[in-house]
Amino acid sequence: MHRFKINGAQFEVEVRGAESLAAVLRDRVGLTGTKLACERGECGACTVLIDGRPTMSCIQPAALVSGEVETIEGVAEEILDLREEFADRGAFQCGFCTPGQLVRATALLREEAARAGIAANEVRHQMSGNICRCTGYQAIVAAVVDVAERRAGADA
Amino acid sequence: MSQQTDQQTDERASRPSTYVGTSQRPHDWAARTDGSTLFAADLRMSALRAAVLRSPHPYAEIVSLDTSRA
Repeated sequence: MHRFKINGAQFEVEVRGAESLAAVLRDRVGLTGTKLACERGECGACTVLIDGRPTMSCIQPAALVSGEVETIEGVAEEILDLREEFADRGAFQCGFCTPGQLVRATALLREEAARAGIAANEVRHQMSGNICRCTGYQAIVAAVVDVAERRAGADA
Repeated sequence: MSQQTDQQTDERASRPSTYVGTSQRPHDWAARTDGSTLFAADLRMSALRAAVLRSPHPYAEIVSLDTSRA
């Protein structure tokens, strides 16, 4: 039995061989907000946080995970402002890549929120591992920049 | 949102139609941004195998399904 801490709760899962963290989250724990698309660490749809670090859960062997896992279900409340900004700006259409985008941005905002915002090209660079086939990225980047700025302003 | 957009939104909101010409969030935006929207791969079906039976008619009422081959 492998012990996981996911979104603050404890789970015990019998991990099969090289089963990925994404498979454990989706098929065993029932957290299907984490999406599987390319299944080889290229598209970012499966992004989760392990001890706060963005990780492609589709290529992360579950048996090697000892840190605290956070998924979209776990961070959704913290980033309500970003989710609203995504909705207002049309930063998603089909919504399949959105959980990964939002989880990646959560890590970015935790780092950047304490500072004075973040430049659009830095967001582009940091989030380049999250592919979106619907939107063309402009709205996603703008939403993250806006929320980072607003949060930095609120803290100052 | 920019000031200009806010003004435009305010003007439009005071007219009888509050939807036409104004930006609206997708009705299911909350579910689609918190991971709870279910895509095909997220569905749990109590079946070992499944197959898709497509309609031969573009517009028709479904009267019965021929599942004999299944």
